[in-house]
Amino acid sequence: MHFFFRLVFQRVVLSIVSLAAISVIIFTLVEFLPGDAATRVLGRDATPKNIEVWRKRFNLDRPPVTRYLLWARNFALGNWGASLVSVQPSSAGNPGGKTMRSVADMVLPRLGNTLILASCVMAISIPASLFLGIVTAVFRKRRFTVWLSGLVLFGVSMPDYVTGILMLLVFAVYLNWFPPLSLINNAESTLEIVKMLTLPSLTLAIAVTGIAVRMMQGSLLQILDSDYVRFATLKGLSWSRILFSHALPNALGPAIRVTVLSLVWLIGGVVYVEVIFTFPGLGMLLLNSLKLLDTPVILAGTMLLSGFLIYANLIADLLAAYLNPKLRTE
Amino acid sequence: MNKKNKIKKRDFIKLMAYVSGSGIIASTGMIKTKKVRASSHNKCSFGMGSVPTTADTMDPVFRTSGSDGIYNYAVYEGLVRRGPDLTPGPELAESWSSNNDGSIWTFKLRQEVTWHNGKPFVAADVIHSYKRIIDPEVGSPGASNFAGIDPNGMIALDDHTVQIKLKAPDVDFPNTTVFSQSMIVPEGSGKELSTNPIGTGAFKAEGFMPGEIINRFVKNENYWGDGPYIDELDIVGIGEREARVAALLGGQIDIASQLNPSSMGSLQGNSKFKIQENKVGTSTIAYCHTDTPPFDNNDLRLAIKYATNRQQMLDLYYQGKGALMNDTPIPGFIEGGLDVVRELNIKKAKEHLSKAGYPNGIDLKFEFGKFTNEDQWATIWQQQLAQVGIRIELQQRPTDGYWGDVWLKEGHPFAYSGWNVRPTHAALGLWYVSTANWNESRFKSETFDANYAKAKATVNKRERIKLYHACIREVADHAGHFVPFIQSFMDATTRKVSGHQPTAGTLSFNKISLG
Repeated sequence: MHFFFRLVFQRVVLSIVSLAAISVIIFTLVEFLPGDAATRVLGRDATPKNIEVWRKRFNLDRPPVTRYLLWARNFALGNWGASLVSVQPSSAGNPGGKTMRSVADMVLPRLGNTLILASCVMAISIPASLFLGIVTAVFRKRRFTVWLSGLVLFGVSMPDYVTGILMLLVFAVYLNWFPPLSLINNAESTLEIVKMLTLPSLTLAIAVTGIAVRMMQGSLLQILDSDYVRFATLKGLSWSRILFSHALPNALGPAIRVTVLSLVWLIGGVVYVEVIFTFPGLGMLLLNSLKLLDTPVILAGTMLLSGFLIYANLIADLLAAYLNPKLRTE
Repeated sequence: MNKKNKIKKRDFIKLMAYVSGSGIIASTGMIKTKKVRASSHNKCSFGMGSVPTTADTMDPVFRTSGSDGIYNYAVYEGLVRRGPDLTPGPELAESWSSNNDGSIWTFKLRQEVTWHNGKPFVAADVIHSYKRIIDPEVGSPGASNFAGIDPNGMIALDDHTVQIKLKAPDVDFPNTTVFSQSMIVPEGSGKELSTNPIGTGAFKAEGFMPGEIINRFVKNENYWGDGPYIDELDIVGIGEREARVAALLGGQIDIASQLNPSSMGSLQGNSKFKIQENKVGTSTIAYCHTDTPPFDNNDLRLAIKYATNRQQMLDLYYQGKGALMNDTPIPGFIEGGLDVVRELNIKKAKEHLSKAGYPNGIDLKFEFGKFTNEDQWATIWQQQLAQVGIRIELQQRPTDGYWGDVWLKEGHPFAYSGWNVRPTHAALGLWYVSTANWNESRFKSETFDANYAKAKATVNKRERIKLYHACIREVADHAGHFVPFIQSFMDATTRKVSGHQPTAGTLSFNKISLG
């Protein structure tokens, strides 16, 4: 247990340092992008006089360092700040409509939607990748395995946006089985939600599963070729016992790690997929905020995604160490 | 092998089933569904091409992006409306008249109009709305369009008559009041309108949320005018044209707006859908700074104009759906416009190029943003100009911030622009008057300015149009605008939708019905 506590402690401390560094990098990059929220919102109407008035409205008249430090202090205290450009809706206890909208109010509902999408993807891809990984490793010499491996490779190689558009075209436009817009907050029944989630989840699951299958297959093949498996076979054990009792537990560690690491793909792909299927998630919000250079929203969104990745990695390491005592070295 | 680490086949399969099942059930269970409405409920979903942004506002004075402009049409109204051919017509003002030179305007307001909160609409509301637009502290992006109003010259003659005094005569002033920043808001209202709008329009906002893909508007039972014929209007922001078509085909929206001919493929010949076209559409423009070498030489500008094959461009870029133009975005089929087409003339183009001092051709850089298919447009033009020796290097710039970083900026003398067709007086005033904010080509001509000012003060319509034509001819021959054509607005609807028309004027959501 001592090992696990130390690992968690070390990683949490490191994650704080990483997140602070990420926030500085993101803030600096946004500052370096041409224009600011006032010019982006005003667009063609950005006359010098208008820009001046709107910069004041958006609190952009302070120097960048002050703005960053103010944000960092508030963020550390659990206050995510307010959007530069979005006005608080009056229905949310703000009758005057005079204050700017809280970043948490904007980000959290969208994060919720993205997590729903991500959990659907994982629900499809984890069992699928384990099953396909085992099948392609165990029956590696059969003809159908070659086809299956080819399909998996196809899934890995196709970018999400191509798969997404193809899915949209075939299943939504031509076959009309699923709705082309995944507006889950406006669905009128649970069946509609399931239909709306199917295409974006499948699009992302194809890429994620592809990577995990190849990893699972690789590590299982290595184990199936090892001496102890050969010995078990010679001893006369049934293949299912060899596979499930001896080979699989040892192959699971790397597979879990890779599944968690494939979250990186998921997070990258989620932005494309949300745009293609008009899915109201965090990716769409981030894209919108980047266009408007709404720094507090961009920072909160990237902090959440980075934190999510850092801690997912930690969980993967913990799981791997739990499944394989050899990894628990000091 | 540690016993704990053994996995039984049955357990393994069970575990996987749990992971899948619980993941999907938990996910879908987290979403609250909306109650299914009665089948008699009459709802129309309008798919707009603008992507809703978190900066969207329902306060008309702050309206900037495309999406909030469309939302505003559902809730608010102006004094005057603009028809699909851009001619002005009555809206909140029943009628209007001016003094002899067009410097004092009197608007008679409708009497039977009430606000969404039940209060009657009166002259004080109009004065409050106009004072907000021109107040420099408010910072309305539309303020410059109303700079001609004398701030102390707005008087309520009675509850339903408003008099507006201008700093200089403007016989086209009623058509200026159509700018959507000048939609009328209730007296005493202010910033709270941005999310809690109160208008006189056919629809009321229901929990407006900036940046949401769908915003819902409900029928105003007390609407003074024609309609509304639907109970609910959902305005859905779908940025990708193909996705809008897919949503229309899939039955998720009833109207897909801002389409183009190439996205119509799957709709053409399908009896379930109707395609609508309005020639008073939008233009794709190139401009050059006429005060910056080499573009300060009008012969170079003329060479470019003569080398452009307008018909070929329109056919290749927009399948011929539109109208050829004579280097101003003011077509002859709107009031005061002029239909002249400059024919392709390679010989003349070469002559002008030689006269400009480039007998062996010239290399130029052209900057554009790819908002839709501008890259195709630019490539066609590049090939055409190459025939006379004008070699253009195309430089694609990021669309985010294009208007802030490239357009109108010093150091970017030859670049892309685009405008919806506007009424003649507005187009000339916005783009070609020496002092205009949007004078992209930095066109400065005393003759033009004088003709324009004279036209604005000429009450006689025939005389005025003559002056506008002189202005248009001068611009076509001398300004740094290259406008080969205007492309039509194209929308598609399901067969059951009627009362909708694509337009650069006032959107009439009140007239939409589902038959």
